[in-house]
Amino acid sequence: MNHHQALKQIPYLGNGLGFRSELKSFTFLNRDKISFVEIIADHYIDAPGSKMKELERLMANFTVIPHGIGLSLGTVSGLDEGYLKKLGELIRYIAPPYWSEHIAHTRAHGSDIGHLAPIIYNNAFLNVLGANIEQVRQEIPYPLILENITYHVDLPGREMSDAAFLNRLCDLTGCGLLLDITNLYINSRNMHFDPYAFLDQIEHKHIVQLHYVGCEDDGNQYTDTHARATQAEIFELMEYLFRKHMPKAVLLERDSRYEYTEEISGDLIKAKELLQHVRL
Amino acid sequence: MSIEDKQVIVSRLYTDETYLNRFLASKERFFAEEQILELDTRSFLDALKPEQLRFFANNLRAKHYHETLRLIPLTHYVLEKDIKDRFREFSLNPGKYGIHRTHEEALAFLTFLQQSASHNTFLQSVLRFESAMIQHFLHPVAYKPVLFRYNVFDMLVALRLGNTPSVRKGFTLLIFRKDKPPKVFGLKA
Repeated sequence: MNHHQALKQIPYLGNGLGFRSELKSFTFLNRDKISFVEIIADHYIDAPGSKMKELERLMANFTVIPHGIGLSLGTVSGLDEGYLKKLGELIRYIAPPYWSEHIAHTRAHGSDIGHLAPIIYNNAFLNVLGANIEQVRQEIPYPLILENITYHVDLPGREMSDAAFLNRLCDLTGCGLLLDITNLYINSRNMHFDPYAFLDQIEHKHIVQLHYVGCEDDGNQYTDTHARATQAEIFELMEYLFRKHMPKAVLLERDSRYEYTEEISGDLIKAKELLQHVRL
Repeated sequence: MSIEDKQVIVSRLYTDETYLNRFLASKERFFAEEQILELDTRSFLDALKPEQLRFFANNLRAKHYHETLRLIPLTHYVLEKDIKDRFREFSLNPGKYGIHRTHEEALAFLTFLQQSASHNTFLQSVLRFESAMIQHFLHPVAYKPVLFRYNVFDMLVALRLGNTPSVRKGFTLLIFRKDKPPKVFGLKA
């Protein structure tokens, strides 16, 4: 089975929540709204026994999708092999239907950025990603989907639009797309492009999963704080996409202000209703 | 210059405030000092928008700051607003961190604070306590006793419950245990 066929075999997972330890009780008490969870893979690498017990409990109750943040697929000098090996051990242990990483780099030789930084949307970086993903596949034989990030620096040397780059990347590598619809919304605001045109240009067959959460606007820039209730404009983008293509999974990615459980519940209910409404 | 070299320069602009300030102050001087001679690289760097670089660098530092604070609530409580300036001083020299970057960065920040707090036994206790908590997460051992001169564990519990912690002096023994909550013993002086 080739990579594209493997993506087609991914089951429908529905409405999920990004699991965080702070949301442990909430996650188990709201199983009617949560049909799968995504974990940050890095939290369970070289982790103490209590974290691994937490993972086992999650695996016993939900489909668990590992989401990597530290692989740095866009690093030109190549991957950290020690990290890749440990990530591979974790993912083989979970044996998920697929896993995900970002189209970004978090380090360059001599510099550890510590967060997701953008790459240039050009052919040279398509080759960098292609080579790194090929290496990843030798270690991790599970379908990989790639997430678009927010970018505040428009790096010189761009050769194609966001949608064209993502289409070519998925065609070239056989990876699926984890479309972060909030990141799309943020980038469209900060870089002044039409997010609906993006949704028309992106090849829908690539989209396996969505991420969504609220964002912040400081009057100058929109940022992905993952700390707010999802804005109506973002749900409207989701609905627009759902009418053209239904992803296998949709996930709320909240990383802060966990005590506002009504906001989190509200977002999960809206997404679930949207999924059911459009599927009918 | 290769795309790898360009990526290294841009990454350093994001993370090293001194380097970014030198770049934005005078690009010609920066190119001369860094021996960046190729026209292709110069035009690449010239085309970067200063306000975008500055925003991204500040945003990155803010993310590191907030992630660090989540791991050291008691230090945050004790230092109050001063902690923001101290973190800024600390982040002028970015470190290299591994898989548990957030924990390792918080630990390095606590070490940085400890170096300038030798006269303050209360703050030293708080910093040692939160360092011990993080070290125990990163490298758990079956049994590790640590002695403090203040009951910092009680303070942390009060803080997490939303109460105002009271500062109680007196020897306190904490025994960190693998995969179990620590045990706390009050000791008479």
